[in-house]
Amino acid sequence: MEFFDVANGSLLFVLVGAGIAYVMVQCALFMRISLKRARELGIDGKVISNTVKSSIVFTIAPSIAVALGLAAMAPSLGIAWPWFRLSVIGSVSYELMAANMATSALGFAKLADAAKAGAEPLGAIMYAMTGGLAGAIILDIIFIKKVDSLAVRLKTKAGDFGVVAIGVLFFAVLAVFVVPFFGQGLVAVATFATSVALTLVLAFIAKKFRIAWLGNFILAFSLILSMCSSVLWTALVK
Amino acid sequence: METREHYFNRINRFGRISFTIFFVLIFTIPTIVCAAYDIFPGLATVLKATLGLFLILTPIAVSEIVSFVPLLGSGASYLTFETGNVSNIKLPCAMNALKLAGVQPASEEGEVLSTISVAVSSIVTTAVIILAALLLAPLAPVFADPAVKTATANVLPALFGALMVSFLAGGDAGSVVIKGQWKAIILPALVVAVVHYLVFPIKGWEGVTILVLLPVTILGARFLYKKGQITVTPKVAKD
Repeated sequence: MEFFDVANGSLLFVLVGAGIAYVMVQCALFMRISLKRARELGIDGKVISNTVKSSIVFTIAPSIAVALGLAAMAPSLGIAWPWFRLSVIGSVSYELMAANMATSALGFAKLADAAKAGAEPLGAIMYAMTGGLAGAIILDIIFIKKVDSLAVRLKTKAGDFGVVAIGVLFFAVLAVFVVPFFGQGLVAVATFATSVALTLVLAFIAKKFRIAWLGNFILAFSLILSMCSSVLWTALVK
Repeated sequence: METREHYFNRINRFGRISFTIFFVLIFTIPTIVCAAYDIFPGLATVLKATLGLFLILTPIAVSEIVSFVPLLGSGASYLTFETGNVSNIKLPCAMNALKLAGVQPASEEGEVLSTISVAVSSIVTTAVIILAALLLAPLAPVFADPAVKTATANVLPALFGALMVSFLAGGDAGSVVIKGQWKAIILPALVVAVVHYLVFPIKGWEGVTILVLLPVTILGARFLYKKGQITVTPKVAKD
C-alpha cells in the first residue's frame, strides 16, 4: 500500500467528512443556544444580523490564506488530512511545522521522503499531529469555564477599572503581533500602514456621509484591500 | 428568563461534553485508518514523534486560554479552540463583532455575540476550505499565482493594521465610554520592541510573550487609570 493510496483514499475522506460535519453541527447548536440567549437578553435583531454579516465578510479573506495552506500541504500529505486539520483544530501557521516535526522524528529528512516509504509513516504522522494537541484539548476542557468565570468575577470586583482591564487585554495581543512587522521588510510595513490608513478613511466616510452599513464592513474591506495593496508594494520594492 | 449563572453552566456543560466527544473523534480517525490498512505505527515511534509537538503546543494552549478566554467568553472559546486558526481568524473576527455592537468582552451580551460570530466564522472557513479542496486541481494555477501568494502572505499586517485602529479608538464600551485607553498599548509595545529587536526575536514565542505581557498591560493601564489618563464615564442616553 502506497502513502497516497491511503492519504487520498475514500476511507479517509469519509472519516474526515464525518469529523467536519460533527463540528459544523456543534457550531449550529452553539449558535442556537446563543441566539435564544440573545433574545432573552433583548439584543436587537439588527445587531445580531450585523454580527452575522460582518463575520462572514471578515472571515473570507483570511480563509483564502488557509485554503492556500491546504494547497501547500496537499502535495506532501494528500488532500483529506490537511483538509481536516485546517478546517478544525489546526492553524495554518502550525500545521506544516507539525507535519514536518512528526516526519523528522520518524527519521525522514522531509515529508516527501516519508511519502516514498509506503503508507506506514502516514499513520504515525496522523497520530503525532493529533497527540501533539492532546494536552491543549484537555486544558481547554478543564480550564475554559474556570478562566471565564474568574475573568467575569475580577471585572465585576474591579468596578470601572474592570471594564478598562478587560478592554486592554487585547492590546497585549496587538503589541505581540504588530511590533515585529516593522522588522519584516518594507512590504509588511507598507501593507500595515495601508490597512491603518484605509480603516481611518473608511471610518471617516461612514461617519461623514452617514453610511451605516459601511460601518459594519470597515475592517473586512480594509483587510481585503490592504492584502491586495501588498502586491503593489512588492512590485514597487522590486 | 434564564439567570446568567444558569446559562453559563449550560453553555459550559454543552461545550465540555461536545469537546470531549471531539477529542475522542480526532483519535478515532487515525485509528480506523491504521486498522483498515494495517499500518499501525509502534508506540515508541508515535511517542517520539508526538513529544516535540506536545511540548510546543501545550504551553501555547496555556497562554491562549489565559489570554483569549476572558475576551471570547466560554461558548466562543470552545468553538475557537476546536476549529483552530485562533489568532488569525476567530479572535479578530469576534473582537470586531463586539466592537461593532459596542459591547464589552466578559459581559453577557459580549459572550453571546462572540459565540455567534465564531460559529459563523467557523462555518465560512470550512466552506472556503471545502471549495478549495474540491477545486484544488482547477485552482492550482490561481494558488500558484505570485500575486495571490503575496497577498495571502501579508494577511497578518493587513489584519492587525485595521484591528489596531479599531481598538485603539476606544470610546463606546457598552454602558460606559472609555477615553484615553489607547495609551495602555505604549508599555506592552515598548516591552515587545525591546525584547524582539534587542534581546531575541519572539517569533514562535508569541503565546508565551502574550502571557507575560498580560499583567504588564493591566498594571500599566491601572497606573494610567489612577493618574486620570484613562477615564470611564457612564454613557449619556440619546433621546
